[in-house]
Amino acid sequence: MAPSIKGLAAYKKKDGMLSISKDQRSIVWLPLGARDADKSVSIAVVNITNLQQTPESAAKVMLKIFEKSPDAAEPVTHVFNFNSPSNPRGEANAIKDVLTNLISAIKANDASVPKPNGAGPASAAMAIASAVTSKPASGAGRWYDDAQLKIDIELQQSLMKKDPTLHRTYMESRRTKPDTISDSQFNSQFWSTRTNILRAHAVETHQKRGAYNVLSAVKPRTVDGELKLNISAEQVSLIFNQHPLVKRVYDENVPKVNESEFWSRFFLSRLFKKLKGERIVETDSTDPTFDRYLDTKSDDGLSQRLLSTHIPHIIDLEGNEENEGGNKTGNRKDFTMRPGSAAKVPIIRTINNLSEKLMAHVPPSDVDPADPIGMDEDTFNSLALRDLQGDPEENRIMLNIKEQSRFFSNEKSEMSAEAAMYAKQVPSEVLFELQADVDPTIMENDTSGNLDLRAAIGVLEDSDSEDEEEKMPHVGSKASLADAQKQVLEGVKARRTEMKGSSTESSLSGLSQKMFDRLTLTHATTTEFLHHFWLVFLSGDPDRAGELARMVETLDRAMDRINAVAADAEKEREEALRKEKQRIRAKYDQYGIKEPWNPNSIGGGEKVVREMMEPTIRTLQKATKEYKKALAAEGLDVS
Amino acid sequence: MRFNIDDLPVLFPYPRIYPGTLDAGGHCVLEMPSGTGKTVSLLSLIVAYQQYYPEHRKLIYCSRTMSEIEKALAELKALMKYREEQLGHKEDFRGLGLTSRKNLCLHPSVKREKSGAIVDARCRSLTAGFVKEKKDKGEDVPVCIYHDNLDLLEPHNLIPNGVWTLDGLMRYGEQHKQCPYFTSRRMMSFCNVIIYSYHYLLDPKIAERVSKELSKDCIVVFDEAHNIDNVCIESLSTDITEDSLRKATRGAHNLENKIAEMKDSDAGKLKDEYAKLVEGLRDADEAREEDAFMSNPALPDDLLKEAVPGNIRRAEHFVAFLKRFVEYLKTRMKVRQVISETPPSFLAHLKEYTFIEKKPLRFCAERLTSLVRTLELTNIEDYQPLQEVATFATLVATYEKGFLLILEPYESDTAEVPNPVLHFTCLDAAIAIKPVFDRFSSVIITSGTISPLEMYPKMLGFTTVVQESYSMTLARRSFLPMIVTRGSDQVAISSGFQVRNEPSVVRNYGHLLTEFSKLTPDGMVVFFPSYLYMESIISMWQGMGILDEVWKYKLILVETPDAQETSLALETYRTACCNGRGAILLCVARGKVSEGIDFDHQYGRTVLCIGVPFQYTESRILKARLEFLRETYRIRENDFLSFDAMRHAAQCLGRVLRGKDDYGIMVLADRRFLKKRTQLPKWINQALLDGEVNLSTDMAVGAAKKFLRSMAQPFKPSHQEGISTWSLKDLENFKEKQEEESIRTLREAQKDDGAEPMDGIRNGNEEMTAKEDEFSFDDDELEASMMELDGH
Repeated sequence: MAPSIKGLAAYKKKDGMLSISKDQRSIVWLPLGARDADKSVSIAVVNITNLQQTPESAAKVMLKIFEKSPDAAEPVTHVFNFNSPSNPRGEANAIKDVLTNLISAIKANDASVPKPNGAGPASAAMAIASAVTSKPASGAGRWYDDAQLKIDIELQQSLMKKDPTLHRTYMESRRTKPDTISDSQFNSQFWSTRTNILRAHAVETHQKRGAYNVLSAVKPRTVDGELKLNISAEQVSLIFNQHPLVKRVYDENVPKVNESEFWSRFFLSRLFKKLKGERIVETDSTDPTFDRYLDTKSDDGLSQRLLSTHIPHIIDLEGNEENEGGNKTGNRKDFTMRPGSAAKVPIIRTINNLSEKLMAHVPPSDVDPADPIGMDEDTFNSLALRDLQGDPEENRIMLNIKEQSRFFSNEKSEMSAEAAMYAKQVPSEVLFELQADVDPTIMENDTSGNLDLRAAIGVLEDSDSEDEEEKMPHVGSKASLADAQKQVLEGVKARRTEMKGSSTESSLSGLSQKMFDRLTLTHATTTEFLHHFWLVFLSGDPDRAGELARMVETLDRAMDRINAVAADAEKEREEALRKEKQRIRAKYDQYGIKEPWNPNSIGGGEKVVREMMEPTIRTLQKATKEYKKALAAEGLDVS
Repeated sequence: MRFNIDDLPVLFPYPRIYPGTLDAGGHCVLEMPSGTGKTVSLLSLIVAYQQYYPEHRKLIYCSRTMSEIEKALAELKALMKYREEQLGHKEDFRGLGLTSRKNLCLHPSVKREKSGAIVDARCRSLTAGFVKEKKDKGEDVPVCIYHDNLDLLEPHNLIPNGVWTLDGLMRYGEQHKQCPYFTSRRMMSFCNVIIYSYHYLLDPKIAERVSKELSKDCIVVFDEAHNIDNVCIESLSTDITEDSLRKATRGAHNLENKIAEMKDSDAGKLKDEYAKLVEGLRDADEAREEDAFMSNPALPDDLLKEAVPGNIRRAEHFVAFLKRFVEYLKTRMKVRQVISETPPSFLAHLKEYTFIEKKPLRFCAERLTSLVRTLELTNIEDYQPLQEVATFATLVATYEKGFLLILEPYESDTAEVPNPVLHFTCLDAAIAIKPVFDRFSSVIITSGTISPLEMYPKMLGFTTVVQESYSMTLARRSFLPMIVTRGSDQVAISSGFQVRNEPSVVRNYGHLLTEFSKLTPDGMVVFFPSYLYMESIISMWQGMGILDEVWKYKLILVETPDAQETSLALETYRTACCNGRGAILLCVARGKVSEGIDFDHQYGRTVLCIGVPFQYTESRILKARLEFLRETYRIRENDFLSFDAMRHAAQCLGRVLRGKDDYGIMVLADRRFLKKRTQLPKWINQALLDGEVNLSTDMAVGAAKKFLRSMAQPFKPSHQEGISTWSLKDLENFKEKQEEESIRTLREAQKDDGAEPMDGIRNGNEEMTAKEDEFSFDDDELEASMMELDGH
C-alpha cells in the first residue's frame, strides 16, 4: 500500500503525529519531539469498535476512536484533534479511510462464521458483490453484511428520503411502538425485514462511473487560431493515474511552467502522441520540456502482471501454442501474418496496456488468484450448455389451506344470474314454447289481417302494472321489458366505472382522503407489528418471551388504533350527514323543493372502516388467540 | 436422460437434448452447428457404445488446442458423473488428456522456462534412463523427483480410475508428487478415452512415440477439424535458415568433441552402439520409448528393420557426414534468386556435388538420436538446430511426391538485405493423415464449420460412409448474420488489395466499428484478415480519431504477437464483459484467438468480420500448393482460396454461439461476401435472410438494433421445448415416427424390386450407414446408427 499514512494531531492537548503502522495492525500516536515511547498511544485496529468524526463542514477536525480490548469491559475513547496547518481535513480523511477499510476487512473476515444469519445469505450476497464491487476488501464489503446494513443509519435515512411511503410507515410505527422497546431494538427489527431494500439502495448509491480513457476524451479545440482546452480536475487526476509519467513531468515542471500552459503544451507534444500510441513523425512540433521524457522507459509492469496472473486453461493461448508437444514444425507464416515490431505499431501495446489499467481494480472474472489452480465448478458451469439443463427444482412451499370452500364460497356466484337462469331451462321446452308463440295457425290476426306478432310475443301495451296476472311470462311482457332495460342500464353503468378507472370516490368508499390515509397508515403499522409478533412468536426463543408479551400489548393497542380510526370515521360521516341534512333543509327553505332524504347516500363511517380492516382485525384476533393458547399451554394464566 | 438408439442405451448428461444429436460410423465427416453440444453428443454416444459392448474399444478424441481439450475433458467428466448416478455404480473407466510438457510440468525450476522446447529438453535431461542409472550408481546428477516417483507405483495403475481434467491431473500430481505428463503418457494404453492434440496422431515425429501402442480398433474423433489439412501439412514441413545452419555447424563440432572424449573414457559404449546399428534400428527403438532424446521423422516400418548404412555407422563418420551436408546447404543458401525444386532434383544435385547418397540421408534423424543417447548428452537444446537439419535430411530423402523445396533469398520483394530461407514444404495433406486412416477403422471428422464437406475427403484422400451437414433448429432467431457491403455513404467496402488502404474504406470500416460498439451490449469481437492489415488499420483509425470515439463506449484490446500478453488481454476482456464495462477485442481471423477460444454469451454479442480472410496469395508456398491441388485433386485455385477464406470466416462467426439460449450478431463486412454466401455452413446460410445480404452500415445498424430488442423480450426455456430442445418424451415421439417411416420405406423398397434394400450401404469395411430417415443396425459394429432430424 501507499507509504504510511500519517497526520499531525493533538491528543490530550499535546501535539503529535498520528500514523498507521506499516503492518496496518495498529494506529500509533507519537507526541512531537518526545523521544520516550511511553507517552505514545497505540491502538490495535482489531480492538477498534467505532469511529467518529466531526462533520465535513465543521471547523475543527477531530477523530474519535472507540477502543475496546478483549479483556476490558468498557470501551475507551481516544479523541485526536487534527491540527496540521496545511490540510488537517485531508490527513484526517486519509487516516479515517484507511481505518474504515481495515476495520471492515477485519469485520468481514470474522463476521462470516459466527454471525447468526449464517454463511448462507453472506455467500449469496458475495456473489452479487463480485459482480458489482471493485475491491472486495474495501468498504464495499459491508453492504453485504445484514448486520452492518441494519445499523447503518445514514443509509437508512437516505433510503427513507427517497421513499416517502417507507418513511411514513417508519415514523408511524416508531410513534406507536410500545415504550418497552428501545429505539435501537425497534430500528433493527424494522430494518431486519428490509435488508434487501437497504442493500439495493446501498449498491445503487455507491455505483460510480468507472475510469475511462481520458487522453482520448480530452479534445483540444482550436478557436480563432488559439488552442482551447477544457480539462477538469477529475480528468487531471485520471491522467495522472493512467500515465504516471505525466505525473512525473508535471511534478518536475509545473512551478516553472504555469498550469494551463503545461496542459495545452502537453496536448501538442510528442510525448502526448507517444502516450496515445501514435507514431511520431518528423513534422511533429518539438517541445524541449516534454521531449526530454520521450525516451523514458515506462515500465508498464507487464512482465510483473504476466507472472502474477493465473490464466485459466480455457483461455490460455500460450498453452495452446505449446500444446503441440514437441518441436515446432511447419513453414513460417507468410509476411502478412507475421506481426510487425512493437516500434512500428506502438498503438497495439498501448491499447492493451490502457485497457488493462482501466480494469486493474476489478477482480478478474474468471478466477480468483487465491483459488487453487484448476477448473472449478464455476468455470465448468460457464461452459455447460445452460438451456439443456433440466427445469430448476421447484423451490416453493405449498400453502395448505383447510376448508378452502369457506374462503372461496363467493366463487360460486361466478356464473352470472342470467346464466344460472338459462341453465335451468330445458332447450326443447323453450323451443317448443317459442314455436307455439309464432305458430301461424294459432296466431291471431290484427286489424289489417296480418298475423299479430305483437300479440304473439305478448306485448300488452295497456297493461301497466307489473304484477299483472299472467300464467306464462312472455318475452314481450312488461316485466320482461323492464328486466331487459335494467340489464342494459347496469351494463352501461359497469362500463362507465371501468372507463373511469377506479373512481376515487368508490375506492375510498366514502371516506375522506385524509381519513383514508390514516387508515392506510394504521394498516401498515399494524401489519408491521404483526410481522414482528410472528417473528418473535415463531422463533421459539424462550428469552424473548418478555418481548413477546410487550408485543401482544402492542397488538392490543393496534386494535385500539383501528377502533379510534373507525370512531373518527363515524364522526366524520355524521358530520357529513348533518351537513347534507342542513343542505336539504336550506334548499327546502329557499326553493320549497323537498329532496328525498337518503342516509345511504353518504358513504364512509365506521362500517366501511370495519369492512376494510376486517382481515386485519381477524389476524389480530388470531394472533392474540394464538398467544393466549400458547400461554395456556405453558400453564400460565392470562393476566 | 436415458434413451436407446436401436439397441444401444445412451445416457445423455443433460435432461434435454438438441435435435440433431447423432452418432455415426466409419470414416465420416460431420458438420454440426457450433455450440450445440457436438462434443457431448459424440462423447455420450461413444461412451455408451464402449460400455455396452464387451470389447471396450478405446476412444481417441483429438482436438485442436489445449483450451478445447480441457473443455472436452470437463464434458466427459460430467458425463461419467451422470452415468454413475444413473447406473448406480461406478464404471471401470479412465479418461485422460495429454498436452505438452510445458503445460503439465510441476518441476519447480523447469516449469518456469518460457519456451516449450527448453522445457522439453530440460525435462528429458532430468528424466532420461541413463540419468537414473547414474543416480543409482551414486553419481550426483540432478533428477526430477516427480518423474522418479512414478517408478515406485504400479506401472498400470499410476492414477485412480475416473476422468481427469488437465487441471485435475496437475493437482493430483502435486498432491502425490508425481509427474502429470508421464502419468498421462504411460497410462495411455490403460485408458478408455484419451483426449489430446491432433499432433500426437498426425505428426509422425511424435505419433511414433506417443500413439503407437494404440490398437487398431480405436475410434478416432477429430473435433474442430476444419483446419485439419493445415495441421497435416505443417507436421511434415520445415524451414531452414542461415542462422539455424550456423548453429547446426556448432552443434556438429560439439558432437565431435564429445565423441573424442568418449573414445578416451569409454570406447566400449561406442562399439556397442555400432553393433546395434548393424542389426538395424529396431533395437534402438525399443530403448527409445518415451525418453527418446530427440524426435525423429516418420520412418516407414521397413526402414526400421533395415541395417543402418555402413558409412554412417561409426559416430565420427556420421558427424563428418552431417557436416558435409550442412556445408552443402550453406552454399545453396548463397544463391540470390528464388529456386523451387522437387526432392528428387535436390537429391540429384546433392549427389553430384557431395556424393551424399539418398539412403544414408534417410537414416539421419534416427542415427543422430541414437548417437545423442549413446553420448549421454544432457544439454539437448544446443543440438536442436542440428536436429532440425537431420529431420530435414530424412524428410527430403523419404518423400518424393507431394513435397517441394523453395528457396527464398529475400523476405519480401522490396527487401534489399538477403535473409535466405529454405522451405521444405508439404503440399499434400493426405500424406500425414494416411497412416491414421489406414490404421484405425473408424475415424470421425467433425466441426461446426466444415463446409463444403466434399472438400475434405478430396484433400485428405479418403472415402466417407457418412457425410452430413446438420442444420440448426431454433425456436427463435437467436443469431443474426448480416452481410454489409457498403458504408453509410454507399461506397463499397472491401479488404481487397487494391482498396484496403483507401481512406474512404478504412473510414467506413471504422464507422461500422463505432456504430456496433455503441449498440452491442458487453463484448464484441472483431476479426481482421491478417496481422499486417490489422496493424495498419488500427494505426489509421487512431489517426482518424475513430478509436477515440470507440473508447467512449468500450475498452479496446488487441491480439498481440506474444501469446502470453494476449492471454492477459483476453483475461481483461472477459473481466470487462462480466463487469458490464464492455470491451472490443481486435484479433486476426487465422490467429491464436480465433482457434479454440469461445466468445459465448456476454463475451461476444457481436462478431464483426472485417474483410474476407483470404490467405496471402503472393506466397510462393501457397502458390505451389494451389498448383498441386489443381493437378492432383482437380481442385481449382479459386475454389480452394475461397473455401479456405470462408471456413475461417465461418469459424470466427461460430465463436459467438454456445447453446441455443445464447444470441449474437454476426457481421460479414466485405462486398465480396455477397457472392460467397453459399459457401457458408448450412446452419449460418439458412439463418441469413435475403434482405440482409446487401446492407449498408446504417441498415445493418437498424437491423441489429431490432434484433437486440427482440432478444431482450422474455423468452422462457419452455418455449424452446419440443422445438430446439427435446425432452425424453419428444425424443421418443420422434423415434416412433421415424421407425414407422423406415418400415414404410422398407416396404416400398421391397415392392420396388425386392432386391437390394435401399438403406444401409455396406462398404468394404463392414460398416454401414443409416440414411436420413431410417435406422439400420449391424450388431457387431456400432458404426451405424444416426439420427437425422430435419431442421426445417
